[in-house]
Amino acid sequence: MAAADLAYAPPMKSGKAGFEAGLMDPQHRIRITLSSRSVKNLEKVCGDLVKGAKGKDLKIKGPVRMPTKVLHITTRKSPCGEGTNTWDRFEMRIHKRVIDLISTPDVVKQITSITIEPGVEVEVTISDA
Amino acid sequence: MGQKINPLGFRLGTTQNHHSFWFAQPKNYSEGLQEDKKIRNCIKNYIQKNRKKGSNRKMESDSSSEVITHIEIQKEIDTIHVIIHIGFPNLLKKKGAIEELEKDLQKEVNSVNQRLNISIEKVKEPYRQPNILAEYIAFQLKNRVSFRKAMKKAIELTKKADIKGIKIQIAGRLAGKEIARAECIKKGRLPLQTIRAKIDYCCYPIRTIYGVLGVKIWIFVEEE
Repeated sequence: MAAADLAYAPPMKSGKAGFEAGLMDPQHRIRITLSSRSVKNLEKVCGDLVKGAKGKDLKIKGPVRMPTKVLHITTRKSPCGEGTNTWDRFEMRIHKRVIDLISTPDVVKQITSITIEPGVEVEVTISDA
Repeated sequence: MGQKINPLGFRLGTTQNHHSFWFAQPKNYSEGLQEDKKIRNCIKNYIQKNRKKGSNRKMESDSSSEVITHIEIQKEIDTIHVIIHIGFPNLLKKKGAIEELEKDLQKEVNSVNQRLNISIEKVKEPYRQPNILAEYIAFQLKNRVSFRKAMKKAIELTKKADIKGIKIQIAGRLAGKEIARAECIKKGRLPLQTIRAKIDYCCYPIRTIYGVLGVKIWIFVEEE
C-alpha cells in the first residue's frame, strides 16, 4: 500500500520542510489601492486588473470606489487688496479604488507590471490570510 | 472693461490637457512640483545656452530656431518621461544633444530611483502655436521693426496654417514712447466664452531697452 501511495503522490519539491500537500502555495490577501486624479485612466487600470485576475481564476473583490476627496484652495484673485473681493476657487479631485485579491504574491506582480498608466498611483499591501 | 480669464486654465477639464500628468499623495506633492520646475528650467536654459553658442558664429539669432511650445512630464513608478514639443528642432537633432540634456537633467533632479526618458516631438504646424509666433514677433521687435508691421507679418504667417481666428495684443512702451499703451490686431472669430472651442494662448514678455513689452496671442484653432 505504501508503494501505491508513493505512486499516486504528486511530484514533490526536493528537501522542502513544511511543504503543504496539494496545489496551494501559501495564499495571501492582497489589497491594491489605486489613486488618481483622472477617472478615465483609473477606470481603465481597474478594468485591466480585474480582467487579468479573472483570467487567472483568482478570487477577487471588485473595485470598491472610495469617496472622492476634493481638496480646495481658495485665494484672492487680486495681487493687491484693492477692488471687489473676488476669490478663485481651485480644487483637486482624488479618486480612489480598492481591489482585494486572494493569491500568491508572484501572480500579483505579474498582473501589476502589465498595466501601468500615467497618472495612476498603485499601492499594494500584502497580508497573510 | 472686464477681466479675461486665461483661456488655457478655463478649458482644463475639456479641450485642454495638463502638461504635467502624474499623481502624488498630498504629502509628497510639493517635491514632485519642485522637480517639475527644475526640469523645465534646465531644459530652457540648455536651449538658450546653445542658441548663444550658435549665434556667436553668425552674429544673428536665427528666427527659425528652436522654440519650445510645451514640455510634458509624466511620472511613473520608476521613470520620468519628458516630452519636449519643439517647433524647429535643428539644434536638438545633433547627435550628442539629447544625451547632454539627459546628463544635465540627472544632475539637477538628483534622482537615484528614477530613470529619465527624454523624447522630442516636432510640432506639426509650427505657425499655429502661439509660442512660436510670439518668438517671431520678439525677434522682429528686437530688430527695430515697427510693431504694427511685426504683428501683420505674424498674421500673414498664420494664413498658411488653418486658423479660424487670431488676436495679437502688444502692451507697453510701443516704439519707445513715454506713455505706454496696448495695441491689438484681430482676424477671424475668437469665441473666448465657448468652452468647446480650442483656443491656444500664450503670454510672452519681450525685453527692450525701454522696458518690457507684453505680447499676448490668442489663436482659435478649431471648434470641438
